[in-house]
Amino acid sequence: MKETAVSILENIRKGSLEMEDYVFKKLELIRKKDNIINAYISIDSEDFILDRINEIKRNIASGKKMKIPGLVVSIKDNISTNFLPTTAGSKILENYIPPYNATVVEKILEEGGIIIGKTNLDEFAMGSTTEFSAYGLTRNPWDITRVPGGSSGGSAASLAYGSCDLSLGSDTGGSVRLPASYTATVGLKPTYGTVSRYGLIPYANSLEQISPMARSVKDLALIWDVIKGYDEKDATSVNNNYKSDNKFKICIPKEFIEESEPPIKSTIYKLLEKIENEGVAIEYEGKFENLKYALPTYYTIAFAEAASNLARYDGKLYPISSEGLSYKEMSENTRRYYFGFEVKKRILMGVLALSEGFINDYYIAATKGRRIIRDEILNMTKNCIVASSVSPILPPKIGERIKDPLKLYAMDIYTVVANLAGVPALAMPAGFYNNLPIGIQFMAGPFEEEKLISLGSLVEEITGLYNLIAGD
Amino acid sequence: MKYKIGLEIHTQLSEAGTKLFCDCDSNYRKYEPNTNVCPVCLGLPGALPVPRRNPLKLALLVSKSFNCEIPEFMVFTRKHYFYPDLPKNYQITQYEKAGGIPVCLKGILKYFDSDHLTWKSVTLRRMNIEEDPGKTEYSGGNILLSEYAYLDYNRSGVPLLEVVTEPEIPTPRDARKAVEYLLLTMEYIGAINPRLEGSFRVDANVSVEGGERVEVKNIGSTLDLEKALKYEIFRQSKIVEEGGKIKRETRHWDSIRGVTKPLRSKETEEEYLYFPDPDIPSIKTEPLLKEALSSNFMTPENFMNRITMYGVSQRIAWSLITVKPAAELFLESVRIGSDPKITARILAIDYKGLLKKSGKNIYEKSNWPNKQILKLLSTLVSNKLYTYDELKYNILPKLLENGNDMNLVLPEKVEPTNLIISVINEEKKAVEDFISGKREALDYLVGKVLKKAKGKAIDPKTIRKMIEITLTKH
Amino acid sequence: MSKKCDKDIINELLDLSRLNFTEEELEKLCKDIDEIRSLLNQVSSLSSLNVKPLYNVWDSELNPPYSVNIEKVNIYDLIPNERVAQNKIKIPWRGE
Ligand SMILES: [Zn+2]
Repeated sequence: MKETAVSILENIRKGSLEMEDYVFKKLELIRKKDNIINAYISIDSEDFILDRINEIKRNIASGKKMKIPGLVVSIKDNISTNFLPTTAGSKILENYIPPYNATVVEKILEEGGIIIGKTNLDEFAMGSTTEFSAYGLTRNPWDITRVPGGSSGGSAASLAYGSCDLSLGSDTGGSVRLPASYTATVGLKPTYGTVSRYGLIPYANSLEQISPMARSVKDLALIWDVIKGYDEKDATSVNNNYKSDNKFKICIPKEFIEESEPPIKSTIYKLLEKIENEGVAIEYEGKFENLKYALPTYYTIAFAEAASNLARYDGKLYPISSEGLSYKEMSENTRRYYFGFEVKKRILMGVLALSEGFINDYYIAATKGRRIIRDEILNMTKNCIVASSVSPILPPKIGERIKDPLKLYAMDIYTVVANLAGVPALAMPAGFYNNLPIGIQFMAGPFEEEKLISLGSLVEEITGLYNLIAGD
Repeated sequence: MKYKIGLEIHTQLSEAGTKLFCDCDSNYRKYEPNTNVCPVCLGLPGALPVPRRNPLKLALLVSKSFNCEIPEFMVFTRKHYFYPDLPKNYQITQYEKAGGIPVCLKGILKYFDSDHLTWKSVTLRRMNIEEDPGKTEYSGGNILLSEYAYLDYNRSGVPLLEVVTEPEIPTPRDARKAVEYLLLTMEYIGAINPRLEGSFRVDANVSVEGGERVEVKNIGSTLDLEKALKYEIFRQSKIVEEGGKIKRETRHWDSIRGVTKPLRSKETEEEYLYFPDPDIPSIKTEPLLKEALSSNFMTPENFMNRITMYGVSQRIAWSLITVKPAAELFLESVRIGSDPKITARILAIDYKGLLKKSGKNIYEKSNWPNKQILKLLSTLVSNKLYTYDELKYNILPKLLENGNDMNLVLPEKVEPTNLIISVINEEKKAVEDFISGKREALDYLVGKVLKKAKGKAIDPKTIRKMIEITLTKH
Repeated sequence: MSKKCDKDIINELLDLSRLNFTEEELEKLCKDIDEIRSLLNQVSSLSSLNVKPLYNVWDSELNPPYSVNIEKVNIYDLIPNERVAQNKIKIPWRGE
């Protein structure tokens, strides 16, 4: 029986597992494997980790109740930490150490988690393959010639090769779900507003959520319980009761599966059959009328918000600043040389979408599109959980998708919908094809995370696909 | 020549306590540079703006005071431009045309014209809440040539209320009075201390008949506003009279030279990429306004009505109202039984004059006597124990010296007849001068009598009359 | 809407966003932008739709919190010494 975060936690609590040994084994693994995988941008020093372990031990001794004492957590490098640089995968934030912690980081520390390092991502989370990082691409531990998906590819890979127990990514349009499906891990994009964004370096504020990842749904439930909740530091944070019931019905709008590659389609249909055999009702006649608007709506809004969010990186207040005789020159040089091509392109598109002559046809049109998509999804998820592919394709080869923007963006077709509608969505392993992981997505109504977790637990019992570590 | 004036008044909610979206201090002036800053007002990556209640409540109270249409929701928008003083390179404001909704849509600025003792009004187009940028200094004060800009972000994020009027103000003097009244109202609400350096600035637009609109930017005082407008109307009228054309432009007021100068004008349509701030949901105004109204507040107009109700003239009442502690003190002491007219006269004219002369801050409540002393003083006069002038010349200066001392020693009354006789006997020359028609000699004689009284309660007017009567009898 | 890469528009966008590209990049940029616009153009038909724009996904109404605890920071931890003069942040200027 493989170790799960749940079982490790038990052993730590019983005292049968020595925290130092456990964490230093993880460090050892990172030293051995990460020069190839490149899941991490920065890693804690041993001294720092020892101090942290001692702190946790003191807390345990003093009787403090903690939810994840001693568990090893990796965190996407767009989530602010005051003890490790937070680069967002960009050269423009190289060496930037935030003077404050993100709310989720505070919560993980409070509950006894050991944050081992910061994981790689597409620059400012703009990408679907983790190839657009200024700190090198991340490889998929299941096949190092392939991408791990993105933009939280570093987090997914860090779990997939066993360097940590739990991870935090961020999901703007599929950024934890796509990597989860490519690495046989689990990712949950929570309901918009349920996890504080305070400290998350924004890409598209109205769409994204910090999102938990793990190697099983049961493990994921541990970290979800730590990070969720209202935070007065985030005005979009919501105070809500989570709905949970274990009566599921699954709906399948054809559009959500049909366009996927054949091995994906067949894997998902086969799995659904098994789920049905376990007594879950499945309705295959669903329809999603507005799917065709999902990608353009999503990208228009994401670009517009990104252009605005990234205006601040001009060299005046952050560590990187290019030379320049005037402010104009300095800011132009900083942005020219320290932003990557993809980021600059998206900023430019965002400026276009917001500019006087185009705002009605782009940005405003997209916000209207968002409403009709949201309403359709809310309606759809009222009575059932929507099952679909996560990605229409198997994990692509490195370099395969990034040359053509439309091919790259098309990878997100099934995932952006949950972000546009604000609803929770879970990605988890459905099977393998030629040793490549294939994922399935479940999307529920707002605040139905518990329901997704129950269903996910059932599904992982059925498939047996959990706690998988590449190369084991 | 006919002309139209419209104003855009940027007022700082300096008394809000916090900045607009973080907990740093709204009154940034007392801090060392760059020490009143946090992740939010520095725009650090990942920090989020959360609107603070107090600035919003104050803005709503101002809106309410000017009869604004207050929308059900406020919506903040982002306005983008690159500038060193703007940490995020966008300013959070409430721009209507991009989905934003301001705190006030349309209102009436009713103001008091103290020259003509009458109420007038100007239509307000809107008011919106926004963030103040940081403060920039340039070496040698030269904004064009300075090699560096020197930034202090203590001011970054301080709440501003921008008040925009319709272009319908009749004269430069009215523009001044309207702005002064706006500021006074905001001071009464507890939103601003208008005497703080840089707590407000005005952009004025003027167009004379037949010309286009000219905007004069960054006027820092109400006196300058009046001067700048007078100058601009004169300048434009002259050009039109000489057959020239006024083209649309932006000018800058040079307060030292007393002229307006053309600004480097970027007259291309500016592109600010406005859109609603995705970090801030719409804010319902009703609960905030309700909470704001639950604390008592009175506008200067309310004060005017109350004070004149006691039979005090509008002129004296206004003089009280312009100094908030004086107006408040008046009502407090009248409420416990002070004589209204005597109290008003003490506060609005004589004690205020004494404070000013001694260089004390008239806006500081602790520099004023307390209400019990005022009641005592007004009773002494109304019961004819002393004349008002005895109070004014002998008692008030002592009060000023002794502060709020209840054990204030009231001066002993003296019988003036003996003093007058002895002065007349001593000052033969002055007496002769007076008899031969030199009126100044009388002042001299009165002065001598007062000197002999050595600070005891004595009324100069009475003395004067008595000497006059005595000498004319000769 | 023009299909070919419009240099005037690109230049204006570059100016507004303070960005620059090498000649080689510009070529790729033009091609990409045309492609991306063909994707985004698919939403333009919705501009005349009679629905309210959706800015916050829950159409949330904010009742601002009574207290939020954001601590001040030391700006000099972020800024290199050579960019500080008399506690102020030195930013290249020369009028623009
Ligand atoms: Zn602050």
